[in-house]
Amino acid sequence: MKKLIIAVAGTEGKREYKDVQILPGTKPRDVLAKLGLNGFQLSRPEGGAFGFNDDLYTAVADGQKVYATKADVEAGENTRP
Amino acid sequence: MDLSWACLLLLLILVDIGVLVALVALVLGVLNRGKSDQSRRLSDQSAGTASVLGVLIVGPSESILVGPAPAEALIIGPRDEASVVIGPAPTVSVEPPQRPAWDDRGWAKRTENDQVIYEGEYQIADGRSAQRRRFRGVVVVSGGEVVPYIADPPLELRHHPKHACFQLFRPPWFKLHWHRAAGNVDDAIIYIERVLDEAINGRRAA
Repeated sequence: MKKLIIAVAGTEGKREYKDVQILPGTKPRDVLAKLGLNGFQLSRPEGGAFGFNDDLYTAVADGQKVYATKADVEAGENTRP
Repeated sequence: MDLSWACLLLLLILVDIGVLVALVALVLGVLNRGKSDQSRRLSDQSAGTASVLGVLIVGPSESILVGPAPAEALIIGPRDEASVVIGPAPTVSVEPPQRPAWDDRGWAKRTENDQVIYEGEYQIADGRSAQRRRFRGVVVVSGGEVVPYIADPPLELRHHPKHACFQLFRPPWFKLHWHRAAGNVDDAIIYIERVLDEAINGRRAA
């Protein structure tokens, strides 16, 4: 079992879930669903984002802080002149 | 005749010897008595008398008693001061405060002309070189609009589907255009790091 801190990006650190414990085999979607963070994704500590079906347990260290960010953010081509 | 003379002569010799022995005994007796008298006199008289008589008496001087000094005894023991007890320091538990992602990643924040400007570095772990790659970044938040910039983005970004969204703004800075804009600086930073991770490490989130 590993302990995690899930912080919601953009809340200035005011929304944090401490002492989140995960068991081997836990996926990001399990954590997001449990915390009610629909429309969010978990970011990797080393940069990038977790896929919803990635193995979260093996990818994080005990006590790690992981940010949940809005999943619908997306870059787009500049349409303005 | 001759025998009688010899006997007479022997008798005389014996008599002479007897007389001589008696005289010697007499003389010795007188001498011994004198010595004992003198010793008695000397012992009866004090030293003063002895000095008067010119006799040097050598004997034990006044007895010296050697023992512990009469000074106050020195007692060695623990000091009277309050004892100092040294033990393990009390445990101090420091919990990290709740920080926004930009602060956690070491970005700085400043306000300028009604704009909030965040400056820092986008950081990505390069899976091939196992090194951390950093790219200077700025995010300007103005009137609810979040505009991220990146300086000298990596060449790998050219092969990413979103590379066209990075438009050269003012060399070496590129501005990111949104299709669905981030609503805050944290989402903007983490999104650009995600795109960089996908470009550098070829990883795509499902």
